[in-house]
Amino acid sequence: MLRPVPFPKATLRSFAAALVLALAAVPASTQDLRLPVKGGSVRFAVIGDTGTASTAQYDIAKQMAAYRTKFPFDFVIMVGDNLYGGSASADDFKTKFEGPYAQLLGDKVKFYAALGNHDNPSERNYKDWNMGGQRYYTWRASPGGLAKIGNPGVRFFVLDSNYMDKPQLDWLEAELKKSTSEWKIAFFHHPLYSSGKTHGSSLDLRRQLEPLFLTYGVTLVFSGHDHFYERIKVQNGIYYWVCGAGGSLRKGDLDRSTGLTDVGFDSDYSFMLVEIDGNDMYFQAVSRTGQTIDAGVVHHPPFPEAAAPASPLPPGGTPVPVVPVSPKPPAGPTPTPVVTAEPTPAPTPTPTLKPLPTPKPTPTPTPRSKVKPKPKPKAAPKPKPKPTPTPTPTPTP
Amino acid sequence: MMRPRAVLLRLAVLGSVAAGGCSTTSNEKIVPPQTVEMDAETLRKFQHEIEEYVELRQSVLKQIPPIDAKSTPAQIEAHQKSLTQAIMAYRKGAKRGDIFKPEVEAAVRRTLYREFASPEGAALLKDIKQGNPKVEGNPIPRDPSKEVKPAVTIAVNALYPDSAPFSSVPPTLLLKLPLLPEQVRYRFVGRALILRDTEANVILDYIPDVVPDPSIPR
Repeated sequence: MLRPVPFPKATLRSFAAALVLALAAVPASTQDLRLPVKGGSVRFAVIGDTGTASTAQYDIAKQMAAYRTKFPFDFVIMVGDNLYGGSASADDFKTKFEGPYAQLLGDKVKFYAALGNHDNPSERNYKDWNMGGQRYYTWRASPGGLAKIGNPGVRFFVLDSNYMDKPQLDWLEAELKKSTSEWKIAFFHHPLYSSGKTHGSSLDLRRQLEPLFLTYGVTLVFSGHDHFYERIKVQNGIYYWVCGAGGSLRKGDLDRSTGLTDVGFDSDYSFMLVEIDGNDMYFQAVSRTGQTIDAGVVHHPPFPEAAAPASPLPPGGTPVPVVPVSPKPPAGPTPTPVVTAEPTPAPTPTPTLKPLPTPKPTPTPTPRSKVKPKPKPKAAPKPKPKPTPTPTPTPTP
Repeated sequence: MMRPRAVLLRLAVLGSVAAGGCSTTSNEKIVPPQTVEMDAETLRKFQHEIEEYVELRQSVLKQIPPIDAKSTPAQIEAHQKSLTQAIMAYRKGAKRGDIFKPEVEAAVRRTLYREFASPEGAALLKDIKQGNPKVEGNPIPRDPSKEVKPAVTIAVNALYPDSAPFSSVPPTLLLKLPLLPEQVRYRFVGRALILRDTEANVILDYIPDVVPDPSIPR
């Protein structure tokens, strides 16, 4: 069996039921942190499609720095298109990266980059992107501060989705197979699932990658390319985000009829904050103005040797409603229930959660996307969870 | 049309240049094999041309400022410019078909035609539009919601503008085309398939009109 890590597919599917959204009101002030900031957790930010040197990119960078005062993340993952217009000049690195993120760089925050379709491959040698000179690479994240004893491993797999050739696929399979980390997170530029009108899902890439993710227990995937924020409804037990509005934006580019969107935001720039603590992955998406556009927690099924109990709601602010999302992972894209800007309904506790304080419904403004259900969403090709193993090819150099 | 000499070659060629390759203990693999449908002699010629280019490139690299994984922007800029100039100078006089020789071009066309005509063909065409510099441009700094397309000239030894994006090359196609070393890439520009030096930004050769989609400019 090709399943070295005890992360059975069935469990993967079942933990979709444990995705809980903290649908909180947008605060009057900025830096409304929804993440718990637990000691020994792995904390990072996600940005994508950033390198424009635009005012918006600088605004996002400022928000990131401001949030970091409350949420001291240790590193940032960049999902590609880090330097639009290439890197022909050293000035490009300054105006499109070092300038905007000067404060974070000064605070010793590390950046880990994936290459986008606007990035020159030579950028992999840039020291501040920590790519080790490779266009695809992997590393295991260390939690900041005092690490908890028994804190689960978090390993990132950074891919070059511009050119997913056989050596890269072979490398990915080998690395996934040998990884013993409980959390396996992939990030790369082209989204396997996206509701972008301009680009949308990269179907052929999905055909190659999704079987690997399913077999070897990748649970979280971050991409960019489409210039907006989108949290995809769980697909075959895997959570996908499009986080491509860190410096570019295509207003109104979200196609609300795909049936893929759980939460989408395409009216302003955005970035994400993520915290992993034990079995829980907390996330928060933030707009250029500092508003929370999405927040929630993904509960990983129990690790074989983990004793970390399920955590309650993220602290801070008023109690927030908890609404189960995607109680059963759809086999493919399915019609999404309408999510509106109306006050959030009373919570429906999920079986896996401890009792929560009764929340007061609060109005949620624009970030809540309206997703109209479609009778028959555009069917995407189903992944091949377990293709028949093929014989090893004979090298003929 | 008969292709009596065509043989199905299962290839994992040039594996030595693949970055970061790891061995596995199990023979069970999910990743499909490299399956190139090309006459063995034709394939050998193509590989020979690529290897010669890589050798040339290696000799160029010894003469220019090196970079490594800890390079500064200025070092990267200096390296890239030197490499581009040197490659273009060394290959002055190169012409179309030097690498994609007629028989190679014919085999590549057959492969692409077959893939684009397959049930997955529409998805492949959609993917190769993404980042295709004849289709997409760069966000404008003053207004990143708007884009401007850089001009890309499809010619041997022409500079692929640093400002131009790269098209997606679907993995399915990469598994059907001869494997390339890290230094060289297939890309689509308009409806043409080009061979591009990964870092020097030089177009090494191209095959025009391989993409059967009139919505993509030539």
